[in-house]
Amino acid sequence: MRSVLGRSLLLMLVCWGPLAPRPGAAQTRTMLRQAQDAYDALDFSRAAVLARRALTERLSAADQTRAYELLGFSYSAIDSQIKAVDAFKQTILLDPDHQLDANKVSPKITSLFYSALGQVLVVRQLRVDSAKFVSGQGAVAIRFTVTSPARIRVRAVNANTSLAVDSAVGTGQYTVRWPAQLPSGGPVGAGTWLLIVDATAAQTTFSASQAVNVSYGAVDTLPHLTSLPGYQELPEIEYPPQSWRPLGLSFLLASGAAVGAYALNNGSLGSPPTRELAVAASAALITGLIMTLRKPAPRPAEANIRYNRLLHEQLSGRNAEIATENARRRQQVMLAIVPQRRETATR
Amino acid sequence: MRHASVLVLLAVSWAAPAGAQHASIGPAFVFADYREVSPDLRYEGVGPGVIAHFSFHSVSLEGGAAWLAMSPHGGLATSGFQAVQLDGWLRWKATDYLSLEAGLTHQAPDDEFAAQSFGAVRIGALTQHALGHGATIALRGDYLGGAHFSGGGEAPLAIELGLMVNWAFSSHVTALVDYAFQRLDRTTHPGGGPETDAPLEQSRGRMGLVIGF
Repeated sequence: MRSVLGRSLLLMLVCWGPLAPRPGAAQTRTMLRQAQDAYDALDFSRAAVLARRALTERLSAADQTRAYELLGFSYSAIDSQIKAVDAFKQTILLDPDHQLDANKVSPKITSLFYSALGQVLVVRQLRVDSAKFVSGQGAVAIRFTVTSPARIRVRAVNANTSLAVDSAVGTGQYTVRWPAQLPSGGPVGAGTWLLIVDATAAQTTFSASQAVNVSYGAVDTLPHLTSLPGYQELPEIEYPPQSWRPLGLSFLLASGAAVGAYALNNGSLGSPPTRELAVAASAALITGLIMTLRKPAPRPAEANIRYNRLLHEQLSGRNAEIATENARRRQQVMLAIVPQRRETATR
Repeated sequence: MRHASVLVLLAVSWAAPAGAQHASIGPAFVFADYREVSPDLRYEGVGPGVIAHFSFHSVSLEGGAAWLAMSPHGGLATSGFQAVQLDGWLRWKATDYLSLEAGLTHQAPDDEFAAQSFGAVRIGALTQHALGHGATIALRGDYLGGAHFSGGGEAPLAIELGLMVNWAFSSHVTALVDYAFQRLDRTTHPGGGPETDAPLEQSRGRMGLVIGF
């Protein structure tokens, strides 16, 4: 009987073992929530204990970050500054872009956070602008912050190429320009490129990267001009103002002929004949009168013709320049560089 | 040599752009007054004529012929005569308003007892002005040199005055009216005697319509 009871107890223990309560993910998250509640209730010691306990369990990166931050907050509140800085250092290493909201967090905590920031080497806030430019005539800006003095190297890498973009030694904010060109001068290949920032100090290296998509496009060509802006062609024919000139000319020349004929007439042959002169002079005067009464005939406007010729020459010259420019542009490549959603950081 | 010159002129004309040359020809109605020696020897007449014109750049060639039936007009003359009047001008347009001209004039009556047959070389200038819409007016003056007469004699003073009006209705049709007055102060030495004045004057009007090519 005793042996049966003993076997039964042993069996219960064997079976109970795996079924015994162990803190799972939900429990850990509950512990983290309790730590947060304790912190909110200004029970900072309990918050630190609960946060530390949560960190002994398996947590997601985000929960780990949150736990270390809570730990840092709690230690700051109980004046354990060294521990607070250590906790913040872990926070930063886990999430290099982590920021405190200055509107919600006390200056004391913020200063400890920045103190921690100065004691770790990370590359923060790596940002790559979207850019579109003609290859060889532009560059895309890469911005980042290095928290501690380090040797900095920026590279662009794709499947089979690694290009050095820039290098420096220092700390602080940097803006580096990547022209997206191969050493030969040609544009980099289309596809995904990884922009990597390496920061090295002593034995510590931190790398941050941002993937970008590089795509090719045609460079826009310029349209040919049909007119020069601000300049218009002038009419090449003009109508002179109506005048008495035709009749005056006819009268003058007919009178000249009549006076001449009378003056040249040989008196010994009698008075000069008038019939032929009268017919011609009448024809001249009638023609002159008609031309005076009619709308004047159009005549070429020489100044306007010269102006238009000059305008056409300018237009032809400009279009020739545009044609040359377009021929050059057709051999160029428009690069469009768009950052992908999120960078990664590795230590 | 003369044939060669004509061929060269034709070749040059043919090779020139169409706008650089222009030719026209057409009929004319001619009326004239002719007087000789005294007011009593006066004739008037009319007749058909023809006008031809050819221009090449700034040079133009013009010719006219008229067949006139001249009748006595008052005075002592009792019978008329038929006359052929020939005129030719070679003009060079020096400026828009001035041309220089040279040419020939010749009158040949069928009855040389009724009127003088005479010919002369003309040289002078012409001033032309546009009136608008294709109409032009011109006044010309020429010296008639080297005049010779069928009845002999010479004319140290011989001049011609002209008035011309052209109206091109289109690029192909042009109407023209012109007037020419010739005075030739002819002197003769009848029978080898003293110099005697035998002046003659001619006044001619012409109305024509020419077709251009």
